[in-house]
Amino acid sequence: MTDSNDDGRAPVGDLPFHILLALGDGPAHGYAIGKDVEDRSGGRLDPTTGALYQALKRLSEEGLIAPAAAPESEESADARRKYFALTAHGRSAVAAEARRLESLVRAAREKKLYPASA
Amino acid sequence: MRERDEGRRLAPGHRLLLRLHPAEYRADFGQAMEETLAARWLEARRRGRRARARFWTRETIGLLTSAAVERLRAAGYTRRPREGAHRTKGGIRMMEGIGREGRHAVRRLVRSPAFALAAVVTLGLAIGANAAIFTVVERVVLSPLPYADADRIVYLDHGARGLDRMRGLSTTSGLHWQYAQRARTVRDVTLYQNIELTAPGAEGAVNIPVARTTEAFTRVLGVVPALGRWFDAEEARPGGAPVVVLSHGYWQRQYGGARDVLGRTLMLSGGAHEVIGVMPRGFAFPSRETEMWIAHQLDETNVRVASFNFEGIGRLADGVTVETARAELDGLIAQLPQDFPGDESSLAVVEQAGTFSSAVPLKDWVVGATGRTLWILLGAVGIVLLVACANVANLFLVRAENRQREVSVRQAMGAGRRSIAGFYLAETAILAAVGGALGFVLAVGGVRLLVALGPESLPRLHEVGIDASVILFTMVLSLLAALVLGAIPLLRRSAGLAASLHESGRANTATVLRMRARNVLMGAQVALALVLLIASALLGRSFQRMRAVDPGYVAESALLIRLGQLTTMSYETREEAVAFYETLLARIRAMPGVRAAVATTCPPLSSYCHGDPVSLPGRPWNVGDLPPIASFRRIGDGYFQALGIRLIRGRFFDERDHSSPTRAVVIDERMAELYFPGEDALGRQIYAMNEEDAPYEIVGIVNHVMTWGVTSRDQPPQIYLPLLSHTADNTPRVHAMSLVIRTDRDPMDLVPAIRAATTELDAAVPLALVTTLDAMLRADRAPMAFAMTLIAIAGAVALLLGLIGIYGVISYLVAQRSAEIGVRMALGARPGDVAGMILRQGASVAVAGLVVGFVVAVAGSRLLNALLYDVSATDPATYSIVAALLLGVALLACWLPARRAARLDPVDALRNG
Repeated sequence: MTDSNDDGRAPVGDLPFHILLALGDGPAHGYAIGKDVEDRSGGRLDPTTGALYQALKRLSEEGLIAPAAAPESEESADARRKYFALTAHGRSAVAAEARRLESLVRAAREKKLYPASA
Repeated sequence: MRERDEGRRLAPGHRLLLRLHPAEYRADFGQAMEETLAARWLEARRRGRRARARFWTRETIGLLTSAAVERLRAAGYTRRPREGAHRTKGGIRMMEGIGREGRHAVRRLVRSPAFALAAVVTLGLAIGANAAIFTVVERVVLSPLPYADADRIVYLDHGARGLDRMRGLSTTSGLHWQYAQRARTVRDVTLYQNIELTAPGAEGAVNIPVARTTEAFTRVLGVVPALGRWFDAEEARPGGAPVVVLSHGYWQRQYGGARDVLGRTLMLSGGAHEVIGVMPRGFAFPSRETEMWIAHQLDETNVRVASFNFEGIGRLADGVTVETARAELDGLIAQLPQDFPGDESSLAVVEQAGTFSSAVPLKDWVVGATGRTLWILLGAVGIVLLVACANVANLFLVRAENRQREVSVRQAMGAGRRSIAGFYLAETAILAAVGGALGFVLAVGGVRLLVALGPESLPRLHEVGIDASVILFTMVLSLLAALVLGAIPLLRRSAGLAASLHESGRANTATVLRMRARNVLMGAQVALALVLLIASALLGRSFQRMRAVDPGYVAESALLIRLGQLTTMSYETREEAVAFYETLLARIRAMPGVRAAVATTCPPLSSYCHGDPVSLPGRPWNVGDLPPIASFRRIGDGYFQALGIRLIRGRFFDERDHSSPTRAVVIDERMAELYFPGEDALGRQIYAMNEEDAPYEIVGIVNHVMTWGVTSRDQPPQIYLPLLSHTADNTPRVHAMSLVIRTDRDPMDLVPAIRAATTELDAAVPLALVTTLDAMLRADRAPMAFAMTLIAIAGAVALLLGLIGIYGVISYLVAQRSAEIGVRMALGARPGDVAGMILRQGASVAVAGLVVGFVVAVAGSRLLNALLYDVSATDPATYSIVAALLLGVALLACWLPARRAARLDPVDALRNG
């Protein structure tokens, strides 16, 4: 397996991948996405608001995410919030990236590098 | 509601940073980013100081970066990163490039420490001074008042053409009533009065600053009590139940923040008031000191159209400007005689006084003239920053020249324009960053100093502190400095590669262009320094004039104590009140160290003594004219002697004036000149216009005493009445008096004994104000002293930087031309000729700078006028002395290197040049 997946798509970066993952449960707004990224990465990734929205913009431009309506449970919330959701394209990009990572993990296993031997 | 607003707040500066993003980006993400930032900020605030600081720093950098990147992208500067791998590599390459350039720049700077240090200190000083003053300006002048929609609140001031007062009369209950009933442009209006009431305290009675106001007060200001409620319309009517709302601070101090304070009874000056509410923390209106609010029980039957002893504010209706409101209020004033047919004074207010609305936004009123002072100061330090930049630019020019060869080599080896730009920018960026950091440290200290030294009268100064806006301002200044300074060597580069390689063999005289750039910078420094020095000299002379003003009394070693009001319940008659004061004064006089102790209704520099109309027998006043005004004050025995007020003619009061029914008064010289010009005022009679009483007889004339402020020119003339005589009237009231105690030791040492004596006589009487006459005088001069000190510092720094600049330029010139000088000397030029040549060159630039500075100073003098006292803003003497001094100093700065040139050994010069 090479770096590229079967669609010939370039690998998704670390932060974008986390953002796509954060949207896996359904539409979310910037603040919630930021929280999710920070939690999931164990604090390793903690994008500033500026960086977060730049990443959201890139992902929108690449068609991986799209603006979405607020979920019903959050309708009463702040009107300024902007919600994002995964597009079909975005879903397949997450899958492709996961596959790529999986193959890397498999390679590491085969070479007995992971799990680290004591 | 509050909670929600809290959650919408952004950290300081972030709104501005959001605005730096391209419009399209903002349209897509601006609101959402704002929401996220606000949510994160709220979270950080809850987590404490460190989290707050971390949040602010990270997000600021993040926003700056995203703004910059998105701007670049919007401008088409992007290699669209379709290929992730390439993007990463490109990014890394760029980062590595920047890192490498930075490391090299640091190394180069370390190799020339003098240059680096000079640049950093110069920039640091200038940036620090600017950031410090900007912080104060931002907090005092720029930031809105802490009320909801504060820009809709107007201060309902009035002026009177007939009195030649364009503003500052405040308002009357009649005008308030008129507006409250009829105005449409002003949605809610309220009036208030600062009064003092006596409340019981742990150690005897205490004096409490209280605001008496109306029910609409909280609506106008858009506040609600944090606990309980505000008074309702019933309580604000005559006969309503007496209620009181406490300030947060008073509630905390006196009741330990107990919530069951509501419903308790508080005795205020002998009257029981029910506590019904507590205002939110930090709410302080009308004054910082206000501790309580009570209802002003007002109805149509007890309003007065003509007594300007209230203040009023209102909230503008939606979409109404202050101008529109003023026009409507003017119309309502014109209607007063019809609307208040019972009040004859309404005609006088409209026709004689020519009263008109001079309503202004509340913030303008609060900030007042101080705003202008602060802007002038900011201008002054801005000039210092320009001088500093000119200085550093010169350093860079020189350095750029010396490095011409290195750059040319780099270029020849294929370095592009960009890389050359990076070469210079890396250095300037590092210098500006370090200078900015130093500036920030200096700004923190500077702000502390400003707050400590700032006069009490500077509004909102207590709100000033270092916050993110200072950091942001410092960063922006450093960035600007880096860009400006970094651009200078690049501009210079237009000469081209070939030319610079050609001339890189030996040091030549600078090209005409280069020389001109340096001369312009040097001349600009002289010009800017001149402007600042003239300003500080004018202020210095003003201050000197002001200090020289005779206040009319001797201020040294004298205690001033204002006593709380005696309640009419305990002291029904004037005799009873006077007896209290006499007993107290007798006890004070018996204390060791007391030379004299006297009582008065109007001590010097007390702003609250106003004028009342008087009439002079045999001199009828035409209806329609304004009556002559005089300020009445009652004084105890020995008052003139104790204060050192001089008798000009006639006599002081003595024994006969208490016992006999004479109506003796003493007037001041101003009254004698104004109302008895060219005549002898002694023995003449005068009536108080408000009384149907027998006339007063003038028995003495004393000098004028400054009552409103040393620089105030329109103080009314003064009439003194003995405490006890003329018992028919009680104007001015003697139930609130001040004591002046002259001592032969530190006056403040006596305060505990006086406090004890007062409490012993009547535990319900507090000492409302304790100070010294000296301190009052200093406080009065403080605003000008403050402005003068700061501008003088700015002037001194500009002078110093200017000098260093001139010295540096001329020294460099000498070094560059040493070969030429060597040739000249070898050919027979005498040292004097050489020195003269250098000196002439410097002097011509300095003179050109002086001329420009002169023009700028004259043009800008109008701005300074408001700060000056008794000195013209274009005072020719000041201008010429300062210009001559500066020329002298500039010549000295030229002469030192010129002398060095003259001492050059031609052989050395030729060999090493």
